Amino acid sequence: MKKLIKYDVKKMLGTLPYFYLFTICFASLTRIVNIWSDIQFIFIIGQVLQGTAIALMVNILVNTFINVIVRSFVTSFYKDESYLTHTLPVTKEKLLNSKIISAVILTLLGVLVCFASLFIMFYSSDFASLIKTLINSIIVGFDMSGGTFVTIIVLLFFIEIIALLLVGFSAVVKGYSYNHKKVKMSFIWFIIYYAVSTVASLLVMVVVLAISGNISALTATVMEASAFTTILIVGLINYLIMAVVFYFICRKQFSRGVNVD
Amino acid sequence: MNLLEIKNARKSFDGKKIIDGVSLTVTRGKIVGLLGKNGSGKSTLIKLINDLLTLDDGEILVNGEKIGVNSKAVISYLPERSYLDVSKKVSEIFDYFEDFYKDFDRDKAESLVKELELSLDMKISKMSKGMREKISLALVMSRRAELYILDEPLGGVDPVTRDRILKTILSNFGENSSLIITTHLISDVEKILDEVIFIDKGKIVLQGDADKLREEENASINDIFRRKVQ
Repeated sequence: MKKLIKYDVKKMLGTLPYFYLFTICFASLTRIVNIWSDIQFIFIIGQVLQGTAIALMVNILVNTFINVIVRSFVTSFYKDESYLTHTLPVTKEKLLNSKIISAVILTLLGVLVCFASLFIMFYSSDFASLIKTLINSIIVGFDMSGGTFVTIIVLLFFIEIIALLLVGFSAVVKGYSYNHKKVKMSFIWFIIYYAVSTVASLLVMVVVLAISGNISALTATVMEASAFTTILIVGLINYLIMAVVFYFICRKQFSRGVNVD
Repeated sequence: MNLLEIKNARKSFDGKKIIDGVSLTVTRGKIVGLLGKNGSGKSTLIKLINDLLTLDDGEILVNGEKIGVNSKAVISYLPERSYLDVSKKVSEIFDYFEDFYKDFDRDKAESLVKELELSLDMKISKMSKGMREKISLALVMSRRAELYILDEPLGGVDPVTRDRILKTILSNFGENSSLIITTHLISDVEKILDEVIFIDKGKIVLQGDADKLREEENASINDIFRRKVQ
């Protein structure tokens, strides 16, 4: 398993390390240049550098998704390389699990680089206290600390990405089980899976809010603390369930065997 | 126990029967030619043995066990198309094989690469189709496998390379192993075959000992094939 993960991570990384490096370089340059931001000309350069760093961050997240799903998953399991992948003396479950673990590692890495770059670009004691004040104003009346709130938000974001990846994997496995129009069918199944899971999540959310007496939160302009906490926690559980359900859908379909081109 | 046993295998695509009730056995120490025209079902059958396609019906057993981790550990398969990762060097592909196949003999692979006049530092992306085929062959024949399956190993190479490939196959093939070779270039391989299986329209037309067949029919395997498979 370790060997599989090693090769999968290496393959999924592709050119991403260059993007990591460029992003951190541009973030650092932005920081340096912004020291003299009171000079108009330098300020413009700083804005350009900052824009480039942010564009690179978006690129990292998009490329991670493309590398994980297209470059690694489809190529290894369904294209020419699949002739080697599926003839390795390894179970189908291990092949799949390795891809998922590698995807999680890569997503974490991408998010970490983005956070590190944002930290490099914007961190200052003033900025930190501004964020702190902002968080404290959001959690007024909440039965949680600022740290817990941030942890839940980061976790929610991370699990959402993982759930989305698993929806993607399941759609590809389903799409490639067809004899023709595999890419088109993968795309259609992605939309179906995503729409169904999103509607199901929303329904669960509505039911939970109704039971907890917070249904008015859906239309209210100012949300009550208890409603907000419920939404956060139900959202987190929903994405977790979504990830687990799609993992089993993907595993079941994949274990049935493949039909490579 | 038979090394390979296929019982009533069936596979269809869009209602078209590609493999239609194929049953065959392969024992140890044989070189078997799976011969058929283009589109006869040879590659589909090979893909079914290698778990690259799922059976609609029937059973495939290797050493008495269904296709799975154990069968993959003893089968060394050379597919029709190149499965090499083009971003890697030859040596990196060897590392990969060494990591996953316990029976991979790296020294043998390296000497085969030298024999085939290739280099370990070469990147796959810089290689021609013929060179890639040679590397794939070196990888496959460097495993101490029980069953070698070579799908069209002579397709798309010149006659000189064909001879070299056949020589490589024969000199690296263990006595207790068996080898299945598929090709439509029958005259090139018939001299090395112990057994032949003719396949046409997804069905086995004939299976038998190559020498006996030549004797009985008083003809070469190539001629017998032409007679049996219209």
